[in-house]
Amino acid sequence: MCRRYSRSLVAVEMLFKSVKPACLLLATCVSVNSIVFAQSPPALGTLPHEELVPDPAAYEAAKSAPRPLARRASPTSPIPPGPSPKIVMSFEGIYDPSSTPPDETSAIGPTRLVEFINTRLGIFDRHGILLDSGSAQQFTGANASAFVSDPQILWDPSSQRFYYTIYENRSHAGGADPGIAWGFSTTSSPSSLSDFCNYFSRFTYGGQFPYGVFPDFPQLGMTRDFLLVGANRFSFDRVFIGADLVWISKPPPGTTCPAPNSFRSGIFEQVKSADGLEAFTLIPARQVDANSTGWVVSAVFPGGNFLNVYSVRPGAAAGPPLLSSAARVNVPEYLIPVDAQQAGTTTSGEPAPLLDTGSGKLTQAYAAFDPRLGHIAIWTAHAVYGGAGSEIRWYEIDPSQRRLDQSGVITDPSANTFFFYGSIAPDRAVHGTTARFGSNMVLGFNQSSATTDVQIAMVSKTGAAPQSASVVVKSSPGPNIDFNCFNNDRGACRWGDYSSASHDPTPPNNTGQVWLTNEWSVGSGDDNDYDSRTWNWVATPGRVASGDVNGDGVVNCTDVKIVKAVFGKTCNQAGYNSLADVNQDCAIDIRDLATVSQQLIQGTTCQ
Amino acid sequence: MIKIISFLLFLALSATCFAGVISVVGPGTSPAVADTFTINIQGTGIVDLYAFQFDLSFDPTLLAANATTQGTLLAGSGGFLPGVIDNISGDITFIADTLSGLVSGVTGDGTLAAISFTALAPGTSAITLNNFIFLDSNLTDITETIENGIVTVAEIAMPEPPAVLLFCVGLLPFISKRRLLIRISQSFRTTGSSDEAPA
Repeated sequence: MCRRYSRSLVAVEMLFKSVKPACLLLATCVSVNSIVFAQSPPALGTLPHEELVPDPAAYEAAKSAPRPLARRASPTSPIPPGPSPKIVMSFEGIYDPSSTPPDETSAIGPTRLVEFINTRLGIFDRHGILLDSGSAQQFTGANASAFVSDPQILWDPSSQRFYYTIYENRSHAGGADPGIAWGFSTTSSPSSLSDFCNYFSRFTYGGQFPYGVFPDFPQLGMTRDFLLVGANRFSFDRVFIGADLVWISKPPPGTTCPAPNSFRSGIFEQVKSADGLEAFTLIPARQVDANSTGWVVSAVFPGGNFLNVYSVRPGAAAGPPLLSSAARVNVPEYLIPVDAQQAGTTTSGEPAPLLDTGSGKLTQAYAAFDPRLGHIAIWTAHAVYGGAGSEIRWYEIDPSQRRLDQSGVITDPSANTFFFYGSIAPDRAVHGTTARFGSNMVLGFNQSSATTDVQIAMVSKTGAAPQSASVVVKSSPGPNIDFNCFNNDRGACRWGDYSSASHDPTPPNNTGQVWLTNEWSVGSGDDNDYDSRTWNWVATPGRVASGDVNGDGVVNCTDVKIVKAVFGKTCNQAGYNSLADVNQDCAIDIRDLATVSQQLIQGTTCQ
Repeated sequence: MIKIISFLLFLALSATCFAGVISVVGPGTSPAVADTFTINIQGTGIVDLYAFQFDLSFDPTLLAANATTQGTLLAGSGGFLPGVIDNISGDITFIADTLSGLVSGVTGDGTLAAISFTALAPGTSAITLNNFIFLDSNLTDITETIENGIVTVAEIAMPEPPAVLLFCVGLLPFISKRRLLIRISQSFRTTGSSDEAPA
C-alpha cells in the first residue's frame, strides 16, 4: 500500500531543491530531517533518510559495531531494587497514520496535557480526554504545504504557560525558508488550538541551495526570562556546520498575543564543546524552579567520557543573555548505540528489521531543585552502546560543581534486550508559591529484543534508594515494519527520535507524579503502512509519602510527635528532619502533620 | 484614672470571596493597658476543613502574646500546635491543628485558635494572619476568605508619677497583699518601655 503525503514533496522541494526531480519522478518515500513521508516504491538513493549527524560515516560505523557480549554474572549479590514506579493512568496518544517517526513530546500543566508529534498536536484534560487536535501546520499558523518537524512542548511553572517550538520550512515564493515556529498558550488552561499565540523566526537560517542552512532538531528549554532553543545548523546538502542556541524573551502576563517585534531574540552560533570542537545537539534544560540562570547540556558525538554543561545568565538590561563556555562533567565513556532487534518477521518471512536507536544525543533535560541534595540539579538521559547493544544511561548533575550527583543505567547484562529513547523527569512539583518533592525521578523508555516486540517501560529512583526494577507500561502486539525500514543500508526502521517525560505541577498531596509519552507499534502485519503510535501515562516514582515517619511499621503518635518536634523547619535549617518532611517539599508543615495524622486509627488522640 | 477611649476591630478582605471565612475576632470589651484579653480566630461557613496552619503578626510595642490555645473547631484532635511566640518581632509562627484518622473534615462555624494578649501601651495594632494553609479531608488546599483585624488599645490619661507614688504609698497601710504593689510597679515599667520604643 502506498500513501501519498503531497505536502512533504513541496517541503522537500523547498528544502532540497536538487533532489526535487528525482523525488518527484521516482515517487519515492522521502525522509527529511527526522520525519519520513510515504510514497512508493522505496528508492531513495542519496536522499536524506537518516538522523542528521556531524559525521555520517562515523555514525554508520558505530551502528555496524558488533553487539556487546553478555557480561559475566557479578560474584556479589546484586543490590535489591528500590521502590517501583506505579502507573496512575494511561491512554492512547495522538498519531498520524501517514508519517513516522512521531518525535513525540508532551507537557503537563495544572489542567491540561499537550501532546505534540511531528504532524499533529492534541490537547487532553488530566483525565486523558482529548479536547482538541489538529495538524501542526494548522496549529502553528503555517501554510498547509509548509514542512514542519521536530516539535517540542513544555510547561513553564513560572509564567504559567505552555511553550512550543517546531522546525518549519515556511513556504514562500523563491525557495526554501527555514526557521523555527514558536509560541505559547494564552492561559494556563488551553482548550483548543486557537488558545495559543504563534510566531515564526528565521534567525540566521536560510539562503540558497546548497549553502543555505537550516536548524535541525530544535530542542526547547527556558530560564525564568528566556526561551532557549538548541538547534543543529546543517547546510541544505546536509553538511553539519555547528550547534546553535537561540534565545527569545518570554511574553509579559496577559491573554493577548504581543506583536512579534515586541520580543527580543538572538542566536549563539557554532557553540563549542569543552574539548574545543564543535558541539552537537544542545539540550536547554526545562526549568522547574524559576531562576534567572538557566542550563544547557550536550553529549559528544560520536562518543566521549564527558558531557558539556553551559550556563545562561542574564546580561545587561534589555540585552542578550550570557552563554558560558562549556564546562566538562566527567561520565563513564559512551558511544553511539547499535540498532535494536525486534521479534517477528516481515510478510516475506524475513526477520523483522531493526529499530533505529539514535545517535547518543541527550534527549531531554530538566533543571529542578532537589530537596535531598539542597541544590538545583539537571536530570538528563541518553541511549548509548552497552548491554545488548543499546542501553540507557541517566544522570543527575550538579551544574554548579560540574559533577555528577548520581547516575544510573538501564541495561541487560545478559545482552538480550535493547533499551532506547528514554526520557527522564524529576517529580518536582512547582505551582504558584507551592514547591514540593523533587528528589525522585521517573524514566520512560522503549525496550525490545529478538523475542519481544517493542515495549514501553519505565524505572524510577526515589531519594537515596536504589533504582527500581523495570515496569512494563505498554506492549506492542507485533513488530514495527513500514516503508522507511527498507530505505537505508542498515535496514533499520526510523524510531523516536525522542520521547517525553514532564513533571506534574499539581500532583496529589502525598506523592509527586511524572507524565510520560513514548512510542509503540500497532503491529498491523502490513509492511507498507505505518505501525507507529504514541502512548501517554502518568506515574508516581513509587514511594508514596508515608505516615510511618520512623519506619517502625506502624503509624502512631510517635510519628506525630516526630513531626511536631521539627514543625516549621525547612531543609536549609538546622534541625530539619527529612523523614518528617513526608511530602519532601523542603518544609515540615501542616501537609506533613496532616498526612501522618490521617493515617492514625480513627479516634486516636496524641498528646 | 485610666480612661478607655476606644476599641476598634475592623475587617479587611484579603482573599477571594468564596468558601468559608476566617476572621480575627476581638474581645467583647475593649482592652486597656495591662489588661489581658483574648483574640479568637473564628471560622464561619467552613466546609470540610481537616487541617490548618497560619502565622499571626501583631505590633509588639503595643501587645504581648501570652499563649495560644486550641479552638473549638478541631477540638480534641490532639494535633494542635500552639505555635512559637516571639514578642520581639511580634509574631506567632506555625499555629496549626489537624484532625486524625480517615474522617471527613469539619463543616460549620467555630474557633480555630484563641490567643491571649496583654495590652502594653495605647495605640492600634494590626492582627494579621500570614502563611495560611487550609486542607480538606483529601489533604487538598482549600481557599478561605481571610478577614484580618485591628485592635486599638485605650489611650491612658497618665497621672504624674509623684502623684501615683503618693497614692500608692497612701494605700499601703490598707492593703495586706503584696501582689498589688508589684503589679503597679510593673505597670510603670511597661509604660516607660513603650515611650522609649521607636515609632
